[in-house]
Amino acid sequence: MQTIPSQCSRSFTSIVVLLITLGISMPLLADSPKRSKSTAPVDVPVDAPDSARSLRDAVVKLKAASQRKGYQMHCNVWGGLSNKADHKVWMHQVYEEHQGQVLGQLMHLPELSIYRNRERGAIFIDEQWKPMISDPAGHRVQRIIAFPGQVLFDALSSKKKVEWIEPSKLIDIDDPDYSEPMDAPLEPGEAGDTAVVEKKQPSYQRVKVEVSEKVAVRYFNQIQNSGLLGGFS
Amino acid sequence: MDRTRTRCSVEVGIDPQTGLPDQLLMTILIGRKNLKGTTISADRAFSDGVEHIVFNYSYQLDSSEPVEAFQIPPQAKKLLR
Repeated sequence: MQTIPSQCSRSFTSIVVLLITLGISMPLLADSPKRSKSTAPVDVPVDAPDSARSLRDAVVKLKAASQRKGYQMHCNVWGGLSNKADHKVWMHQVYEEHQGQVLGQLMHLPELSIYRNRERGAIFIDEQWKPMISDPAGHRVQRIIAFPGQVLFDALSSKKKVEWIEPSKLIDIDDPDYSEPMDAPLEPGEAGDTAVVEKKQPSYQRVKVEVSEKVAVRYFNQIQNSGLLGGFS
Repeated sequence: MDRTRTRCSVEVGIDPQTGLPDQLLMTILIGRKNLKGTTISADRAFSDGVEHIVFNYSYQLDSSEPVEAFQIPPQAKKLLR
């Protein structure tokens, strides 16, 4: 009868031990919390409404509402120089504020006695109606105040990225009820590890659209052609 | 200024009841050339400490009540054609 050499027997035993060890450890590894099972971004729930579709629906609805019954509009345009990442303007060059109505293809700005469509407009000055572009105030409005429907259409037609964002809340620090926020609660895993951070449900009430540079340049050219930029270079 | 360095974003507030837009905020950023005539590339052109041009268009829209039909005088009407 043939005998197994002792060296072979030792190697065989160590292989068996290794396989058993691996067999026990594989299920443990499979359940390890360090292994992620999904690569989907956690901030966008699977059942989130489609942001691009919601934007498109909103544009279509505004157009229909404009044709059917019109809407009130309050518009602010401000701009100038900034040197902050939040783009807060420190040297204002333009500030315009107007109120009016839009009905179908027409806009009415009562305080300036202006009726306009996308191409031309009429302004009441010196007891007569004149082309809007012939008056400095009318010229400025023609260049600066865009139709909201047009802004939305431009955003929709030249969008690069559409995403849901949360509306920013304005805080009035002069409000008697306002108090300085306390220290932020600790995130799980931070020192102490006792705080529970509740994740808010997204509201899906505001979309942010990144628009092509072409559109940015077009709107900027309109501002520049209004003559309001003065010495900017 | 340098028109090759531009960014444009539009934020649209949507009324959850009607699905209509009730707020628009369009922000336009334009890079500026420095004294050497060059513009800092990419997003750094709009970062802290780097001067850039900013324009904001903000609209509040209210379509809850119908707008009265415009009574446009004939002279003004002519100018709109």
